[in-house]
Amino acid sequence: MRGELDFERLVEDYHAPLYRFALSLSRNESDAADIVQEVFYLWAAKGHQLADKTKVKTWLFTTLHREFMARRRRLKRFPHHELAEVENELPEAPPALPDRLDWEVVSVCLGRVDAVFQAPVALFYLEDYAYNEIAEILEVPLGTVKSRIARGIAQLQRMLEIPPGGPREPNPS
Amino acid sequence: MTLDQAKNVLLAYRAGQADAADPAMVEARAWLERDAGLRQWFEKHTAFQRTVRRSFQEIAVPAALAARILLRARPPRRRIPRQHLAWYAAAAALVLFVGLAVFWRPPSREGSFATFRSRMVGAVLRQYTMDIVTNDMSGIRRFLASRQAPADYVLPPGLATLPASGAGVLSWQSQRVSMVCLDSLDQGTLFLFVVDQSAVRSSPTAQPQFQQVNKLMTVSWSQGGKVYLLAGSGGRDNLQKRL
Repeated sequence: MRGELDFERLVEDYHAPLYRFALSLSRNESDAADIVQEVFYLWAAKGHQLADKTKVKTWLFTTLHREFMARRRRLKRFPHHELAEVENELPEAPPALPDRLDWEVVSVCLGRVDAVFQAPVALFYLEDYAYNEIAEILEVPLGTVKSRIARGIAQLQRMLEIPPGGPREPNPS
Repeated sequence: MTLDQAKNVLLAYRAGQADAADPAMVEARAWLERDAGLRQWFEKHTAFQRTVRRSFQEIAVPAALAARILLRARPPRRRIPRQHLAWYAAAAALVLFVGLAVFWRPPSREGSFATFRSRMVGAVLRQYTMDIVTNDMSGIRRFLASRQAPADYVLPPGLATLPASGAGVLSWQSQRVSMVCLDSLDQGTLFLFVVDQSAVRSSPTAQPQFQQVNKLMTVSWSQGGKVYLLAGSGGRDNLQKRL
């Protein structure tokens, strides 16, 4: 049936990027799989309400983020920080990394970044979303998204300066 | 825009993206033309971004995840147009009449365990709905009990460690059947059916019996006056370890 084929196509196209986003947030494979499964379950139940079908990807990512937040029972609102405040968090120079870095290392360091910056940073690296699209997914103002991405990247650079296993040898140049 | 402000803006630069046309980004990039220190920093930052981006995008996705999603979540049933309702009602009445006529015939294999097993597997392969979606096993038991379905089932040790995802209530020979859904990351959803032993003729023994039914492997046993049927994808070994 057409409806079932479309659903299967949706799962085929988006389960992988959604899982990567969920894992970036939860840093737990089982939780990430659960969240993605829940998102598609919600789509099966409510997706027909989406009027603009070109927005299906945004709908899925927004729903995933909401589901993650609901699971974390997030109650605190985070204050907005002006972009100028980033400079105090930025290391002198970005850490020299090898061409390939294990996800586990990045995951641990991302987990040390302020919680409110993790989702925008993850979307920034994972998907080719523009800032305004990231703002739409995370349901925050555009200026807030830019600020959180910049601060999140700055903090991530700080964390990756000293990886979990100890200082890393600089990339020979 | 100062040099430090330019640096902050360039933190989030992505080559080839729409952000590059952002006015603040354009102004920040103009600083690269006139400051060698900023250029040097930007070169290192770009390399950093490239490595981190690759780490994110190369996150391995579980091979069975898509299959697990499709097994659990299905599109909602298509609504019946109002003008067709009368026809569907007439067809339903005819089916009911035929069904009642069949009911009075002597039972053949209808109530046998083999038929029960086939029906339950068929139900989850076609389209099923969980009446309760939760990972709280106690909540599932309370729900099933409220629907007069078996709720005091005993989970084998291999199943007891798996998280539940929900449950449903099916019907068999006028008896309620509990369907408990459990999540196994490597096998997808496992379905445990529990029914009163009196509802099934030729019920299995206490010794687990394996049988491939359509696309699913099943294992069945009887215990404490109940019949248990466990179904899932993967081979016999995958179910064996759940017992």
